[in-house]
Amino acid sequence: MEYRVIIIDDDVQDSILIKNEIEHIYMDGITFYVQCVTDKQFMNEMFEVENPVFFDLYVIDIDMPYRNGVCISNEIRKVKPNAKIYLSSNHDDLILQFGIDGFIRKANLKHDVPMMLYRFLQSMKATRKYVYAYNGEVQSIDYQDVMYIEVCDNDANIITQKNKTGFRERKTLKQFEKIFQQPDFIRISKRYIVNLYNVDMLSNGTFKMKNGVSLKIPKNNLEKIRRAYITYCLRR
Amino acid sequence: MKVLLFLQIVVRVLFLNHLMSKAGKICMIGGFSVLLFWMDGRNVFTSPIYSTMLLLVMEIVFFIIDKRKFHAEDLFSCCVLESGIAVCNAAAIYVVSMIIYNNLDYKLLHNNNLHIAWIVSLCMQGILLFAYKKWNRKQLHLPSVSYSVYSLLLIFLIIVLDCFEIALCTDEMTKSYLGICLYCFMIFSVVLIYWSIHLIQEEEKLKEQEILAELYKQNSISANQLLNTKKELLKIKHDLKHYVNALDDEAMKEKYLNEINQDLIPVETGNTVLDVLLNHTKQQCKEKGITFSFVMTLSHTVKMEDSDLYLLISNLLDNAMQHVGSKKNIVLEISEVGNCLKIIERNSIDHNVLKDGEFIVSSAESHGYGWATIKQIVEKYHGEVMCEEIFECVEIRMLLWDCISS
Repeated sequence: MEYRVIIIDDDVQDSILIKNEIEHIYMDGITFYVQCVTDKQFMNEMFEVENPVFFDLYVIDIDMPYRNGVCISNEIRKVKPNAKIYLSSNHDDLILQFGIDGFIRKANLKHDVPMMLYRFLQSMKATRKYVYAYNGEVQSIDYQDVMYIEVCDNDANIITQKNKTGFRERKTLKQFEKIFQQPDFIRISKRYIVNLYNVDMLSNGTFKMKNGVSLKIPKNNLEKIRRAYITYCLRR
Repeated sequence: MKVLLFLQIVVRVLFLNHLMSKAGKICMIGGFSVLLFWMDGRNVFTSPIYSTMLLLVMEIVFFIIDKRKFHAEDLFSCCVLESGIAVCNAAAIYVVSMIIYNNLDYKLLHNNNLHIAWIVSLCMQGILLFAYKKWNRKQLHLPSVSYSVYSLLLIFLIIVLDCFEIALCTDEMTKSYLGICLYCFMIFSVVLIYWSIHLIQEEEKLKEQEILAELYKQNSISANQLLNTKKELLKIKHDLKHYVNALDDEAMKEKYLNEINQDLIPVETGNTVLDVLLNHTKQQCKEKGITFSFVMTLSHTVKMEDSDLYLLISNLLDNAMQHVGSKKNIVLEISEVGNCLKIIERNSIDHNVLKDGEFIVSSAESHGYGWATIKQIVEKYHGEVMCEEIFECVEIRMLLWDCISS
């Protein structure tokens, strides 16, 4: 498995240190291709809103002169909401008003970089592709992009982030349960299988999805599903 | 009578639908089926004793064959159901007997008008089912041990009540039933006393926690004032740095700058509890040479009670400082997942501190106590906590339900 990592830091020495730390870690069957750029290079050469270059993991320094880490993270999240972003800093503490995937301290790279890669790989377990036939063509969608699957007459509809009307497939929900399994996916009722990755929150017995759709959970299933969701969030 | 018996079974199955897991339901329906063939109209009144016993036997059989976890919750649910039915039966007997005979004549009622008592009992069970359905929104969550102990207490109570009932209404084997009743009552009393002592100890622990929380409330005002003073000092120091930078003598300049930089920059999260705790911990860590990092990514405010947040974080950090090992590294991360608060604490360790995902309790240290407090608070907020050892670190992850204001 190969992953593309980008380190955005105005200090080239720091970038190299992080790069060395990442490349120093040996994981069987996993290769990290690391690219180091400055904030200016990234924003001017690689990050075009029309056609951005995507990476699997972003390691971004917070304090940078041209565009700071928080700003760059926000820009990336606008075009890639599921981007894995880790901020790096010389400071020991970090207080932000938006979510990131993690934080590494430059003074403690030996400890923080392996932990970052471990967490990153844990979260990447769900990134597989579901292959299906549509209009005679073979197409695929990332598991992560699936919002939920709903029963529609004798078929099932796969609702994704981009396609709100969904792709219709002649399969039962039981068959889909075998394809989309726990811990990421859970069947909440007779009608729906939900991707917990795309759940925004669970409140008042309803899953609020990231695309704004609310899915009601039957009362007798609520406690079981709440527990599964908590466990999922803890492991994520 | 068989129709009434069937109706009673229908009521129980309706209850079961809400109360039990799939395996528990199979056990109980199996037990009922046996009961249906076994019982006649007379002993059906004392059926709770049989069905509880049957469930116990079937749970044990499942346990031996499948080697699966003992379903303490199912057993408890069954006992609640059976004791509810027992109470309905007793009340029905009392009401019907008082109406027909004007006094409590159990024997006469049992021989002549049992079917009326039956119908009254069924109506009461129906009301019980309706009340339960209304109450069902608030599901009961007890620790596994509590489920088992309460189930045991209920089983013995049902046996005592039913044996007493049989002894009252029949002449046959009265002595044996009274004997069973007496033995079970003794066991019931022993378990009750033991459990009461346990509950008193728990209560004492809780009081101690409350005292700690109260102490925190008193301390937080002064700590907050101290924090504000520190912030003021920091501002003065910042200005002072500019004056020092203007000095010509480089050696003097470096000396003064080092002295100014010796003090810590106070952490400001916007939450007073966290500010007080984090600054105190930072100071302590600095004295002990521990690297302490804090990451907070919250876009909303924390909705937890101050005392709970204080006890939770202080216990987490105390535990971390106790087991920090030679690498001396502690990281605390606070973030939000929807309306839940997610807290991750990670610290370096020299040796294993976990066994089966739980902290190894050492009598020499108060680690076990702190861990129990953490679990108690997590339970209070319907959350979950888990620990694991990775990369020579121990990581505690917890999620607290509905603790973020939307």
